[in-house]
Amino acid sequence: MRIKIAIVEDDKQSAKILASYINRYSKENNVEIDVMHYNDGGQIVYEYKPIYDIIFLDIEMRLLDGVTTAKHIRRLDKDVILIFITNMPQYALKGYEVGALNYLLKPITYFAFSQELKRAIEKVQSKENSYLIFSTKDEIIRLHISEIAFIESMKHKLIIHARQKQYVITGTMKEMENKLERFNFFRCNNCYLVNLARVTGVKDNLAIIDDYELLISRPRKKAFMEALTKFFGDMIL
Amino acid sequence: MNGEVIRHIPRFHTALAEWAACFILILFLKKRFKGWKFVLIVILSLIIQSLWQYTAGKLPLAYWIPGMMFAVFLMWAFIFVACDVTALSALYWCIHAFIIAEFAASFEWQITFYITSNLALKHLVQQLIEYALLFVIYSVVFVLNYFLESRYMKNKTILEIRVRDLATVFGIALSVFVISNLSFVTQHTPFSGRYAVEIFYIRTLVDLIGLVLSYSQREQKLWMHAKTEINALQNVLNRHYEQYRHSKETIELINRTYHDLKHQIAVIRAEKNPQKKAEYLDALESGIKYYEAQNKTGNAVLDVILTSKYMACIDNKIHFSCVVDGKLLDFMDVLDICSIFGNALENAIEGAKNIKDEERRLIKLAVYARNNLLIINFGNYYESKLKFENGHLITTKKDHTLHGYGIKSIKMAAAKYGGTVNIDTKDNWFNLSILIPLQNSNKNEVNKNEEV
Repeated sequence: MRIKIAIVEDDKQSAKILASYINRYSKENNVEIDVMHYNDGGQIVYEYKPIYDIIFLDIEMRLLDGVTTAKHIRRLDKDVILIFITNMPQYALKGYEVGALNYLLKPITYFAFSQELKRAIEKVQSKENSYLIFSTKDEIIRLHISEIAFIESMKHKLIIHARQKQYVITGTMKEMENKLERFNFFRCNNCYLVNLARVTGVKDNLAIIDDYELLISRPRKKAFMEALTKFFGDMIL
Repeated sequence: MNGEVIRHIPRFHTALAEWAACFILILFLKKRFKGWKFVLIVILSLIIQSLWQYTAGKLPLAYWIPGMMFAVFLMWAFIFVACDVTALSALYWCIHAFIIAEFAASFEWQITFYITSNLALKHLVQQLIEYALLFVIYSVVFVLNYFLESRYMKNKTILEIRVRDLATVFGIALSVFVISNLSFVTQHTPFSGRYAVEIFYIRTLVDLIGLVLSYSQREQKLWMHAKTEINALQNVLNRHYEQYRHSKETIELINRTYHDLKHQIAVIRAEKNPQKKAEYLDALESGIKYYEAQNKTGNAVLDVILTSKYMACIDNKIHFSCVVDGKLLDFMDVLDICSIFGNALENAIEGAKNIKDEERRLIKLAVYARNNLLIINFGNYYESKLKFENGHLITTKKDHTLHGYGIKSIKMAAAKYGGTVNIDTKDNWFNLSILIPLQNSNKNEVNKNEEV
């Protein structure tokens, strides 16, 4: 797959360096990358289309600054990875508001840049091939992993709780567990296989996903919390 | 022996006691093998131990001591092969097992002898009763022993065996062994019994004393360990709190300096000599460099810690990136914030500052919330080798009085708020993450699922 990157930077020199870093990374790691360049935040926000995988955003831009630009983009695109570039680290401190948990400080070194880009590309790629394929009574369904909240087992049947609807299929929890092994799912008790990425809270012995409260069995509580911590730990690593 | 015949403990009883004592200790130690391999070792060991005791029983009396020593060696081998421990630790556990086994065998045989010697029974019936007693008494003794052990073994850190511990337990075992068996060698000492029942009783009593001594030594060790741990944690905490207070003063000083800047700028403006002007500017620049380190996260305590660590990063040419929603930490105690951020950043700086290539000295920090989950994430690039012991990371710091207490202190602080700590290493990144469930959810969640 080709990775689509946008650079939003009003300083020509800095934009040139970034483009050369991307070029070097692409050659060194054999990744195909398309780069688009914008001179100002306003340019990318105007008629924004969610086609990018990664956006590098300078914070200090004259017309529309990076943070405001990021907020606009976030409203239209929940998945794109935003990476701030800044002269003043204080400005990037609030990156959490737009899910930018890291930033690059000018002057940017190739090493720091490549580390950041590598992680971002890994995230994009892991999202790309994350599908669960299964057949219900009348059709074959291909569902993106992020759609699945959890899987419930009920008398030889499995219920897949997706964002919009629920699918009932035949099969065992063990099979499903093996199928979803690399996608960060966790059995929080005998009946529930939970997508860790979708967990939004933990209250006493309940895992909270959207409107659901799922019981975590006592012997699995510790392992569940550890798996969840590890999952979120990997997010910025 | 006053006409009474002393029947020695049947060799199989001894072998079984020795094997069982080792087995109980092995249950608590880290195994070398899992599954059928482990079962095989356990079964083989019982067979070998029994065979050896049977053979030793046939040897002349002169070989009694060497035979005994070889039996102990077999116990050592059993523990060493089954468990992932050093030879020294295995020796310690083996001697401990020996003391338990001596007591169990002696006690069991004393009771059995007392019951069966007063009855005139056919050989077969006697055998049956003996086996039944063996089963019942060993079960009771070793199950009790298991629970006693679990009390000590719960604390994994105590498993670190030093030569001093070995010497103590060896001394206990040796004296118990000599005194308890004296009567069997000769009755002509002030410490020997003259009748079978009496001799058995002396042996059991002395063995019991050995057992009590051996446990009290471990009790002492446990207590000492708890005490040093509390002290060390207290030290770590005090140190970070001290640093926090010190930094607060420094930062106030910087703020004052900042307000003096205007006056300094006026001075520079007035200066006509260009070289002097440049000098002034350089001095000014280096003076305000630290001001960049100022962080305003929304949490005053964290701001101070971050600023002081930022200064350390500037001094060590480390690039420190942090994205922090400080308001999320408002529910936390000052001391806990000091402990978590002080320790974790200190570790990260320690890990990054010795990297040769300055470009690679990178540290990251992110504090954010995903709905009702608070996530605190520290990451640093590292190149040195990390050392793990028993699956736990051990410090690479030179100062061993603080050995590993940094991370322990973080874990304790996180646990106070129901948090979990995870340490991960991937692609030369060392990552410490903490997840704390926030309880202030005001949403009215509908419980759609019946509990199953």
